[in-house]
Amino acid sequence: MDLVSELALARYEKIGEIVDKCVERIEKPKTFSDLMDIVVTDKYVGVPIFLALMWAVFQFSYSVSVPFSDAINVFFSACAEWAKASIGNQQLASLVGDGIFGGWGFILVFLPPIAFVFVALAILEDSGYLPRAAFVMDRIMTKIGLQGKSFIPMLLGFGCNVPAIMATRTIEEEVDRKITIMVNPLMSCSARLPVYMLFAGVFFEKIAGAVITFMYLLGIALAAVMATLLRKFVFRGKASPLLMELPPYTVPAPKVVLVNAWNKVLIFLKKASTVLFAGALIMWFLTTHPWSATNGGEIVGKSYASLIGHAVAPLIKPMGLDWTAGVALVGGVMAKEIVIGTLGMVYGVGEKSVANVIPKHFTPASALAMMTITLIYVPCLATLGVLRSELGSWKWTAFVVAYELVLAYVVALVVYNVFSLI
Amino acid sequence: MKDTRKFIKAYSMVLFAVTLTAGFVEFLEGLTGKSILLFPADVFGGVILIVISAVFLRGVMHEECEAFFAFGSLMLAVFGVLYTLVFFADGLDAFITGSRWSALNNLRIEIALIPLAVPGLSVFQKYRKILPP
Repeated sequence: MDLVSELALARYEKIGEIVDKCVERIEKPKTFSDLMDIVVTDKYVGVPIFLALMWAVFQFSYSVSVPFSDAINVFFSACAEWAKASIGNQQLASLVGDGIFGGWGFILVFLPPIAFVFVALAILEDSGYLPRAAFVMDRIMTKIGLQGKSFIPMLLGFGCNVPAIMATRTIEEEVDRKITIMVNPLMSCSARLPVYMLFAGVFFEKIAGAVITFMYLLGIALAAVMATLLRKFVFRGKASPLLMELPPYTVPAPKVVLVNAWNKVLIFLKKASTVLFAGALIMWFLTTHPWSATNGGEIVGKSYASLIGHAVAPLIKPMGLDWTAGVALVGGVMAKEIVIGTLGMVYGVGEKSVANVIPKHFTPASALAMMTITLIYVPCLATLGVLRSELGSWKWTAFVVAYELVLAYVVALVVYNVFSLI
Repeated sequence: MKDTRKFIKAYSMVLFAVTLTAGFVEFLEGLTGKSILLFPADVFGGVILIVISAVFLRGVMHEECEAFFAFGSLMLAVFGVLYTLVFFADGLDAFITGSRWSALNNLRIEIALIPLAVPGLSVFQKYRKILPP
């Protein structure tokens, strides 16, 4: 032991002696929160409880929201049919039916599961469990080179990466903050949920919830690996310790939960009415034009979208994906919600029939590869903008995009080949 | 007080055995793809029941057995309610889409286990009332 450590030890021993003489210790009465914390922060069952509750959140959002999504689906399909039957001009009928009603249908059908995720997370937050989750995860986060405070932005990433990256401002240590920002896009935001829901629902019907949970866990695992690598090779040093106050447990107030969830749903609705709707219209144009060559959008193979898809196709062919997936993935750079809508337009079917058509273009293994790429590859435009502003550098933003593209390619290739064998 | 703790430990052991058995059945069925009434083939659903059983077992070995008993029962109830919601959502969805739905085939053991969580929930509620938050 060196002199400095000896001095520090002696100083703390002296402090202890003085405190023992001056302070009378009384036993703090046990609270309800203390009692519950014994369970949720237990070293053996704490993490399994956390994982079980996360699984409940996604089971709730996926399975309970189905009738609401189907009701929206039925409504917009009827509107699209009505528009196409009532409007004489074919191009206008296609724009209104497939572009506008079809586009809205593709987007809004995912509103219920997204809203249900936000409601479930709001219940956990208002109950006081989420800070405990950060505490429980601190042990694991420290092992991967992050700290417990990084957990909250990572968890917010399940909703949307934009506020999640902004939430890293609560992390004082600059290096911890940068690493948290750089791995945050790997957390599965709600925009990716529709892609998982569609593919998992079609190819893994009975275990759809499990497959979706697997995708979320894959994102968490990859974020952990990347954080470890970044800490080891790019930003050296140790993570700073976690200091946080745990609020008492409360029964979630329905009004607080609903307001909290509604504020987040509103962000989705604003995005849906602007970026997503514009994206759906652009995709309608690309899949139906040149109008004469595509015979009014019937031969998508001769459309502009087909040109883009065929350019990307050689790259994604090793994962069992064809040009149609390429178009959808290019569209997904704008916003991940557009992926499914684009597939629907490329296949020339309404949102109701996408699920019936995709088995012709995907296998269970290639569906998993598609979900994996959607999870990992380039963040959406809004996230890229926030990455740039929070990292304060184009160089680091480009680094995030580059590592995500390489990682997406490698992991999707592994997933496809492994699951092709099963 | 001693008798209450004895009861909690004994009842925790019963819940541990029930949830562990049900969890293993669901898990194994999930691996084989076959299912029987009340026990769907669900690997993850099985794992969740095994986690709940672990909470009850940990309580039996822990000084604060009441806390584990109450929280384990809360989890049992939460998952029971969750699957009840899924049950009704499936029925509603079948009505909207016009597909076939059988109530019997959609029932799960987790729903049937809800009544077993009642004693634990009453302990949970008791502590919530007598202890400061």
